[in-house]
Amino acid sequence: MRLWRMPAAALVVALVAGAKASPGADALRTGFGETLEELEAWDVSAARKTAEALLLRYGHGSVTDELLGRVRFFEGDYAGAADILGGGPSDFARLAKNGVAEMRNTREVESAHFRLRVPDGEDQILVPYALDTLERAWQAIGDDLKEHPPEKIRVEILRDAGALSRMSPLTDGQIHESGTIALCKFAKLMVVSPDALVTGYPWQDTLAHELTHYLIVRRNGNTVPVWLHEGIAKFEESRWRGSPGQSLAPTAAACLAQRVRQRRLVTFARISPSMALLSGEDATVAFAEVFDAIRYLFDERGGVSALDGVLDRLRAGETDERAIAEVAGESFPRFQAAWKEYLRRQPLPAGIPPVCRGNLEFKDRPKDEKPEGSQEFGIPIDDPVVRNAAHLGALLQARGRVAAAAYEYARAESAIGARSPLLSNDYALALLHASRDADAESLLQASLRPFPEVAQTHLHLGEVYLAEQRWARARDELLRANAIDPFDPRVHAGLAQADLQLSDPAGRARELAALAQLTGERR
Amino acid sequence: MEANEPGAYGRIAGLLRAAAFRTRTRRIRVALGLGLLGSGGAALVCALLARPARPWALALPPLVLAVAARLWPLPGQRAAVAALALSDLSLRSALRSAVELHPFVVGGDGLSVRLVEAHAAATAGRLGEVDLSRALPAPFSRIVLVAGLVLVAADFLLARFGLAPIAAGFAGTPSASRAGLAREPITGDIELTYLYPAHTHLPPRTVTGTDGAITAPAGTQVRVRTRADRPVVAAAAVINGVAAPLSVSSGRDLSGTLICRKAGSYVFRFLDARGRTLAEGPPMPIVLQADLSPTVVIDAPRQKSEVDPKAVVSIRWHASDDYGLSEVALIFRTPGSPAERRVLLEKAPQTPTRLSGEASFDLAPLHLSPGDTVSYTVEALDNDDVSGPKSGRAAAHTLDVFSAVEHHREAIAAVRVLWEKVVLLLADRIDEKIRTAPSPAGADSRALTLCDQLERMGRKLRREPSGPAGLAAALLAVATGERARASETLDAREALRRPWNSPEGGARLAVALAAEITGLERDVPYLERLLDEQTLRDLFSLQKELSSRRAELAKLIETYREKPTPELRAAILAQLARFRERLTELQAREAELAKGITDEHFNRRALAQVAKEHDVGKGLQDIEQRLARGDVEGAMKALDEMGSSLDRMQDDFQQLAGEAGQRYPGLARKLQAFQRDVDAAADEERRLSQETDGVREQAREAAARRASASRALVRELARQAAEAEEELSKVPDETLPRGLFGEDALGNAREAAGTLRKALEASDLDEARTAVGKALPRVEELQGGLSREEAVAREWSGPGGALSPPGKLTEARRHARGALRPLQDIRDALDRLFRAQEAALSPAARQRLGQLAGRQERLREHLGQVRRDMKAVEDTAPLFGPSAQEQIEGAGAQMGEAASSLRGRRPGSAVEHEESALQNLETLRQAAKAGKGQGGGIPLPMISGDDEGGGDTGEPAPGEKVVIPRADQYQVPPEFRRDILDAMRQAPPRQYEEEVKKYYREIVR
Repeated sequence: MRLWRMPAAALVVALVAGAKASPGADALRTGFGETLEELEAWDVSAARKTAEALLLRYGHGSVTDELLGRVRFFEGDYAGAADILGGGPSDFARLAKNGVAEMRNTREVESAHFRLRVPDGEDQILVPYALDTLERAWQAIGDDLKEHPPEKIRVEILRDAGALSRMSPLTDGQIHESGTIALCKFAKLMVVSPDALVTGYPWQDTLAHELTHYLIVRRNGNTVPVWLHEGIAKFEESRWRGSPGQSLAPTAAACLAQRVRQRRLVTFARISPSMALLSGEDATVAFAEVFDAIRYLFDERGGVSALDGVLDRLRAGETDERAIAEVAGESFPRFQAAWKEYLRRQPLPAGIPPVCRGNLEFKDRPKDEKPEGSQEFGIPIDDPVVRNAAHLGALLQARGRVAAAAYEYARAESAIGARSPLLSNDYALALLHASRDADAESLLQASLRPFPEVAQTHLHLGEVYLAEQRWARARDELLRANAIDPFDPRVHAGLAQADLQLSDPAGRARELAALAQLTGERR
Repeated sequence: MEANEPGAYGRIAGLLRAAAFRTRTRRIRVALGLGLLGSGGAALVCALLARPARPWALALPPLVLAVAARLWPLPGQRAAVAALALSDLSLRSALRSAVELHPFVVGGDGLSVRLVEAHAAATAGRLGEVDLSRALPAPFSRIVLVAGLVLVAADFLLARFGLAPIAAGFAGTPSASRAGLAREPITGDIELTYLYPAHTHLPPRTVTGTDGAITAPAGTQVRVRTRADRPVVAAAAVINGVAAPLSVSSGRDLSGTLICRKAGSYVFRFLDARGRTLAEGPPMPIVLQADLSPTVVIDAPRQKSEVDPKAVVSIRWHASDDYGLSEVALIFRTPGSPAERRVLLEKAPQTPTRLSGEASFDLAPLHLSPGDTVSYTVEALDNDDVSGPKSGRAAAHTLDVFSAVEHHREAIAAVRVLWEKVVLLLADRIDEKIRTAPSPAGADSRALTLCDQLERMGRKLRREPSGPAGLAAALLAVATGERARASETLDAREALRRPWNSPEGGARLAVALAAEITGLERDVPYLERLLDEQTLRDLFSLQKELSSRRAELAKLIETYREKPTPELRAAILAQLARFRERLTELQAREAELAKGITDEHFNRRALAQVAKEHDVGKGLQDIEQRLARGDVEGAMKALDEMGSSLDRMQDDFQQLAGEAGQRYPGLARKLQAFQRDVDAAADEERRLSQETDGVREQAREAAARRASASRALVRELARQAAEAEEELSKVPDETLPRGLFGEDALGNAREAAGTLRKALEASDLDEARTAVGKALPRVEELQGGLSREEAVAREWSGPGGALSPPGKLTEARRHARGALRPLQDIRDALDRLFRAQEAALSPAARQRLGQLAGRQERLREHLGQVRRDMKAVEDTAPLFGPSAQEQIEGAGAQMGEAASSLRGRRPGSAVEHEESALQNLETLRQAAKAGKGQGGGIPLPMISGDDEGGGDTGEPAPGEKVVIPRADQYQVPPEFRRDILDAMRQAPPRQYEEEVKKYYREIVR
């Protein structure tokens, strides 16, 4: 039973027990249950009908009001929900009240299949990209999962982790601990703005990830276990931009490979009820595991139809183990063993350091949290000689002695290779200033191999290509940077320049608008 | 006939009336004109005659005449007709008839009225022909009027712009008009007697035969005596226009008193009985001498001084004035107080012209705090009682209350400047290495100059009482290290420039450059971290200062609460003002300091957040407002809250400083490892020494027993030692001056012989053995030196050769040889004695010595680990100076010697070496402890006095330890000297003979 249902159940007992004991109470209880199930399946329109019917039949009362309030909440009518639920004991009363506050100063935009609500201000620049991603994902992932919901899906971009905590059952601590930046819950997608994080995060993939969850729920109801949910979502999250299975960070894959060898995987049982309850390292490993399990199923057991087959079986009421066993054509333990063996056989990604902790740093981190070593991607640089060299490079660079800076950076880099994207980027900048563009390009490319999720690297590479007038490549890189940290004005300035050269006036206009927004209204 | 009559008569009457008016107008013009002519003429005559003319008298005649003319009755109608000068006589006749017949029209009288009226009408009809301006012409009146006006205008112009006498005449100053025109003196030589004002203390002064010019200070009375050039009845002196009567005696002697109040001039004037001016002399100047303001100078202290808050400052001053000083006062202003305060230093009733003194300015009552500035000066007043005392002040001086934080900040800022240069030096070296740029000209010398600057700064910081000792040590360490490396680079580069440079020259330069780069790569971040740490410490020091000021304020307010007095209130407000000034300054300093922190881990956001959370300025404002309202309780409460805020801010900063200070965790670990190993080595060495000593004691007891049996032998050896000493005393001092390296070979030899003798006299055979071991080589060296000197004397006889004649040297050498033989005998005897003693060691003792030898050797090997630990640390930070390396090497060498002695069953010798090794290790251990960062901060270099490098700042450091080199510290191996002196014997090339001689003369001197 989901956690949030427990208080609901208690509430139902209280509400219905408080109602006069009559044959009608049973019907009410049944109706309440039906509505809840419909809501759980995110069939909000059906839930509304049921709730309205109950209202009609029983009139306003604590139960019918609770149901109606929840329906309104699921529809996104927080004010309406708050009105009805008032200051009642229900969690939804609190959530509705928080929703009213959080949705103040936001704007809603609709596309073919989505209702996107974004806070005013700088976050508005996300709108065109978000809608583009969502629509593409809706089509591609919908095709894979054979689910194209008729209703418009609500998507809320939230300002920060605090907002996510207020709009969900998660606490602030859980969010920071697990690095949760998005949730698919209450028949909507809630995604924290990349501006809430120090270096952004792959927010477009995250939108696709949460949409996958939504589509699974719509397709299968609540029949899919969490590990499978997360595995499919992780696997599919790159689908909007190409083929699935492209979005696992190489460092996470290396971490998984290491853990496989150490025989310290996270069990699927631990993954339930939510990934968000796992700590930093375990969360990384868990995501990698479930991703890999699905990839194994996909690659080795029949592609999309395998996924389809599993989901169908689950919907039909089978357990996950049985469903997989049937699709894989072997028992689940054998499947697991084969998968683990497959995992073990995978070579450790060469030159990719295993990074088993999350790299998400919220801007509003709790005061007593101390930065862990050097706060950057990659491995913390503990070697004082390397740290000194990197620091010397920064000192010299700041004083315009770029050749000497490049020398020091090279010294640091030769010791640790491309294991520190921060170092690689600083080094690349020094090379650029020293007019060694080709060297800078190679360095950045090498850094991207283990760390493709660093916006700065894509941005600098984009700038290299712009300087070399390789417009299409520049745009690609800058769009990748935008997909992680769209709040860097340089991204949009570069994109505007590339779009101009590539004769894309609409794109250019969009980028210039984003640039104006960012340079005019800095938080 | 009236003008308002209807008909012809009215017209006729109108004409006649107009004619009458015109006539009157003519009269007025004439009267006015004549009056003006008269007055203008009279004024002109008066001016020409230099007579004063009364303006009102001149204006009167024209006015009177004009008024009279105005008031004169208008002419009648008949007179009007008569006055008309009509060209048509018939018309004139007709008019006359009409006038004369008019009464008949009214009265009747038998005439035909109609006829008369017709006549009148006809006449009136002809009036249109009449032009009054022709009928009553007035050219004469106009001419007269114009002439009068012209004359008056001429007078005016003459008065303003005309000839001086005439202008003067118009001005009514007939005597002044004479001045520019050859006005001759009217008196003879003038005698002036000056009676100066009392305050000038000037005695009266009489000057005779003057031209009358007076020069005196204001207020001076001047008695004038002169003789008129003619008999006069009365006379006056007119000073700046004001007449002062002069007394006349004997008809011609004039005297009087003038008072000089302002500059100007005066003239003598002769008057008649009526007081009219008969003659006037030329003007004579009166020049006032200025009474200057006093001059004050503060001789000490300097214009800007730094003091303790409770200091008593001695202010030495001197003042002077042209006439006299009345009082001297100290004027000062305290921080936060706009008003000056005045303290009388000296009152001078005698009003001397010079005063000097020394005032003690006690600062304690001012309750100053570090960073406060007091401005002060000394003011003197003169004794001018004529125009009032004038004041003069010395140049403003300031007393800055010593603020350790300020000093610290300035020091850190200065060090940062140097640090920047080190960074740029690194960049230059790297650029040269990677060949992106050739070595800039003078780069090497600049590097060495930078080392000097670093060293000077390090020494300066060290001398300051509250200077950052750690930073000072770091600067010295960096300077020492870099100087050695930069010197090598310089040498390598110069070697490369020589035409005969070796093929390895390039490689040598590359190695030197690489070494420099490596050193700088380590030094730059290390210094930077130290600077950051210091900066952070300054930050929370500033906070602490603020807290203590708050506490002072609290005390004042508490006192005020119990007894509110205006003075206390004023003091509180002044303190608040100072607090506010200080707070503003501190906050600005915080921002400035925070900018300088380059530690990437120091969370500037946290700093800003802390500052924001603890907005002390608001609290201060609240206190001020409450006090203004009289809410003392509220003010106290607000002050308490502010205090809590400050405490929290201090804690936050301390925490931040601690975090940022923990930036060398790796280094601290390595240093710990090093310390651990050094401790272990030192402890083991101590144990070894103690155990060896135990064995030695046993051996010594055995030896003592033997010695007592061979007392006679020992006495004999002592006698021989005395003999050797005696021989050495006969060697003249001047025969062998200080050697090549400053050593005193003769003195050393004598000392060693003396030590040997004493040891033998005390029957301390161990000591004697050591002493003879030292004495013998010294005496050999002495003998060798004397031989060589003798050879020089024979080779280079004549001026500029050896300092002593060969004969003397031969004699000296003989004595040295005479000392050598007994010493050799002593050595041999002691060796035999000890061999026997060693042979007498028990098997257990021998075994023990063997074990100890083994342990000693293992410990020596363990030193290798200590060396590796040291290198690991040194790779990160320049914590070990050359002395640390020397200590390790020294310890290793001594351990080796100790092991060898133990194997050789010489426990006495072993103990000595062990103790030397232990001393080295203890020195290293203490230095490592001292180098531990303060409060867990960054570890600091272990600098001893030896490591402070060359360079002399010219100032001794008070309390600085002076390391006295050991007697044998700078001895060069004898072989080296022998080589030099052997080279002397070889014949130089002919063309360089003289130069070579000169060279050797210098080096053997």
